[in-house]
Amino acid sequence: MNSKTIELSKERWARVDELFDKAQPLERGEQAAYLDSACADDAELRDYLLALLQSNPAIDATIENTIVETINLAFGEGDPHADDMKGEMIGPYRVERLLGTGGMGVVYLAERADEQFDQQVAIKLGRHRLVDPQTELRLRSERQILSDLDHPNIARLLDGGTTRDGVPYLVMEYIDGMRIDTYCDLHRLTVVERLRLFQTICAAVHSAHQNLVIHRDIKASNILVTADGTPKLLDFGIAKLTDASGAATDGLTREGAVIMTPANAAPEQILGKTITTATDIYALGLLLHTLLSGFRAYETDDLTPSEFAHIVCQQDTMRPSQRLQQERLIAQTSSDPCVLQTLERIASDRRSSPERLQRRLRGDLDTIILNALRKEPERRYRSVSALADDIGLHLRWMPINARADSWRYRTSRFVRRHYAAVSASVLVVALLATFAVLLSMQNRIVVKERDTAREVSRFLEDIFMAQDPAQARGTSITAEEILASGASRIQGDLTGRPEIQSALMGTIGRVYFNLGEYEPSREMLEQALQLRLQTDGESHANVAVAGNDLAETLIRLADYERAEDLLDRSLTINRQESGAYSADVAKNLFNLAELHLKTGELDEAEAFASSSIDIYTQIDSGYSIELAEAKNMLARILQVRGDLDRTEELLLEAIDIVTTNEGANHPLMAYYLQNLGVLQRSKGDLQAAEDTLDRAIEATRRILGDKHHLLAATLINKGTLLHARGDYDNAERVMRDALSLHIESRGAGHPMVAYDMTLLGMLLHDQSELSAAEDMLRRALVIYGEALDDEHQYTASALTELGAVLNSAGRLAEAQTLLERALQIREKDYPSDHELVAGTRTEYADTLSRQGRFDDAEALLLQSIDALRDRPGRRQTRANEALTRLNESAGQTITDQ
Amino acid sequence: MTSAPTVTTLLQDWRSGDADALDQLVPLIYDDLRRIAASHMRSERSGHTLQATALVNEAFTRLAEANASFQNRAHFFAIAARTMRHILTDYGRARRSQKRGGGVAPVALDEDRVASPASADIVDLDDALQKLAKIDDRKSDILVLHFFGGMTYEETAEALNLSAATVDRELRLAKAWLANELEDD
Repeated sequence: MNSKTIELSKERWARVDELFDKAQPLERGEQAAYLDSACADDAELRDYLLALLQSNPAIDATIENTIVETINLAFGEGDPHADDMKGEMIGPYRVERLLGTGGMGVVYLAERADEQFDQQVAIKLGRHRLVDPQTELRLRSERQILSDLDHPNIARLLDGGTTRDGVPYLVMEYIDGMRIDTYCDLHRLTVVERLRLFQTICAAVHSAHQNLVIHRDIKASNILVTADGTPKLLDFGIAKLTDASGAATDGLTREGAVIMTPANAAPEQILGKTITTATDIYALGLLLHTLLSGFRAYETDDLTPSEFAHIVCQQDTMRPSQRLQQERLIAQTSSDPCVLQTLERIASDRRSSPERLQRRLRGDLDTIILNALRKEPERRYRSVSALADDIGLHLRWMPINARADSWRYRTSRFVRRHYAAVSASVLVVALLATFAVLLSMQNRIVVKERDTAREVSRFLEDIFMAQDPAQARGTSITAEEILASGASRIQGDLTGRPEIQSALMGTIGRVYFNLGEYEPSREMLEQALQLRLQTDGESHANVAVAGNDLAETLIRLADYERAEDLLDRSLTINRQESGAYSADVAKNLFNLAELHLKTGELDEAEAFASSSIDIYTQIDSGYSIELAEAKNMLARILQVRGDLDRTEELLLEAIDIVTTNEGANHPLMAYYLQNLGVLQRSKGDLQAAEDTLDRAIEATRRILGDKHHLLAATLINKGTLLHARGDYDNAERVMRDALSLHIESRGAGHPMVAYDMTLLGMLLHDQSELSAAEDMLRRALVIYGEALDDEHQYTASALTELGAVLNSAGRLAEAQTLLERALQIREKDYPSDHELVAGTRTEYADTLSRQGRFDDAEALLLQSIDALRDRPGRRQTRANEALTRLNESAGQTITDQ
Repeated sequence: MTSAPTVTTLLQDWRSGDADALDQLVPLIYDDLRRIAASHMRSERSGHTLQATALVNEAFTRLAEANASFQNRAHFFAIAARTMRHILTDYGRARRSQKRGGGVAPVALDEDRVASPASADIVDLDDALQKLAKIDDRKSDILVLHFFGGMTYEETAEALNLSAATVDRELRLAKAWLANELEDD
């Protein structure tokens, strides 16, 4: 014991305390004198007190330095004493330098001292001597587990032991690599390349899981990529043996929760719950989020731990694409240029632009990542291989298995929004033009295939193409059987010749598409795409074509999310392979316009359609079918927007182009004429409309045959036109033709059938055939009830008319219930002065009027009449009639009194 | 479903003697502390100001703001100070252990330390504080709050329910004692 320290009991210390206080304010000489007397009985205490009084006055600085230095060492940028270990021996290994520090200990680069093997290793040294049994247990189990793990993407455990001093160490394969995120950015890996790398990591984690090992701390810094591009998973330091059920062995869990890296913690880790393989899936989700979007799933930098815990455990995770969109918005509005620079750097690191990257992530990749990041472990991917499988499906352009949480919800909302934006007559146009055929595009594809495919291919194609109505013009359509047998022959006879198979499947898929047989079309085109991907690789022009074709079919099948994904990818390839001003790019843009028209995003739709027209105008001197189609597309968009004059202009241009190019027998003529007729009707030019529709019906029968659903649609339009002109008999005949044709071509449960029935119901009502009208409308409502959601505007139309029929029949209580419901649906999607709302309100007011509630009814009717002032037609007529009826009844009532 | 233990409740548990609570607390604040420390080091690389003060203050000011139920801010700083001591000492012990474990002669290490009079070894500091705590718990605690928490006399006084004058007085002896211990050890 040093002379300056003494044994101190509490009592003795109390004395020190007292004397120190008294002596300290005194001068140095006085202090000694004071203590001499005060400690006369205890010289040791006197000396000790003097030492205390003369102790280093710079103690504050010393302690502060000590703390700062330790913070520097513990938290700072490196260990100035790291070289202390250089040349030291750990077991048979000689330390070269410090590699890093982690939760479990310190890692050194070392090599075998006996130089038997010229191998560098990483040695992980525990922080403590094995005084802590938990650490001992942990390290021992880690060693056990790791030595069993043998996977090319997992850093191997080579050796282990305990130093002379009792500190445990592990010797692991030394990975000379770069953090995976840094690697990806430095090499500017694209999204696809990143996904492939990620799949490799998934395979490694899955292999560990199969060995009952959970990593628990998967993060970018634990995954190194070597110079040859091989990812290696490090540091199973907190991995635990898992029991057969996949749950971490009890008792080790809490301790694991302490070690986790908070920023990467899964909800169950924060909540101190059982850690399973799902915890690793969550961590993989976080990693994928960052690798793809460049942003972390949760920004944790400015959060307190409790805020962080709340966000991780409670708050919905934002879709990665949504996150990028948000950042783009911020960049647009922010005065800080760094925001935009960051965004552009992220995109550039992925060989993309912020906008393209956002679009690229939207859909599948959003869904995959959010699925891995679900709060509830049991709702995540059930295994890492399921996660990897979905990425594989996505890479092969196939539908993934995961579903977005609110998919149904969003779909129904989206359908509602779409229909809400479109008035009834325009809707028919939209539905019809949906089936428009892109004929010469088809031809061009065939030419391309003929160039590449062999004799067999050409032979079979000729057979099939003869069945395509677009090729065999004017002949009847009986291709289904030949197609079906052809399809099975391709799969059987041509096995092993994928390039021919894909060419033929693509062709058949297109034929089915042209026939309106979208399910078999999807099936064929899906297979064609898969084969193309196999034979030609990820970014070949053929793949872009196949993806585009499949997208067209998917748009018809209303799978917009996947269709958009395919189109985006196809567009990316085409821009690279064919150039920005190419027919392939224009076609992608055209399809994107179609898609956005369907989803009601009219700004985007108009922009895509206009770009497409620009390109076609430049590359084909303005006279291609594609250009006509693009003009028709823009016409449809502008019609929805209400620019009817420009719409008519575009349609006439389109018809002119087709006639000049292809003559009167082209199927597109049938569609364009139909569109023009409907447009003319909505402009109020009934005679021109009737003439045009007659031409359309004639062309449709001649070109597409008597059974084509386009004919049904044209007929129903003709019927409503005749109805409007008061020619009830002919109207009924034409409408019933349309109805039976729709039932035949589309099936009895198709909404188009109910649509025809509703129009027929109106006609029958106006013919005063009330029970027939009621029957027809009730049948329509049954079909809508099955096929559409209850709040659909079509349902409201049928309800409105049924209410009106019941009014006429004097069944006012029934009518009121139906009309209240109809009005509710209308008002949900439209402002109160919209004509559809006004139309329904008219019938509702009529009910009230017939019940003698004249004041209420009059107010409502005046509202309707005001709203319909500039809209001549049946609705306006009915409103005026109802008001007249009201005035008569009210007058009658007054007279009676 | 049990709710997440909040930092506040963990702090309270720990203060009321539940040693396990600290184990849960450390990872929750560790990253935060580390980040603050790292940024602080960069901005004042050569400074000799007490970075730990800013470090701990910043982290725990946030905790105080987020957890209004924990009413006495001084308690936060006190806990921050104790936590910092815990973290840094752990690190220091681990370092020392690993060096010994690796076969480095302890003597050489200590000579290095002696040659660097401006600072002491964190473990020696901790040992001294523990030694003091055995005979005078309060002074030991005051030292921790003063050095690791960078707390003023007033804050220390508030946290420990003392008067500022008492803290001032006690600290004089505590520092002298510490200086004496570290010089001699």
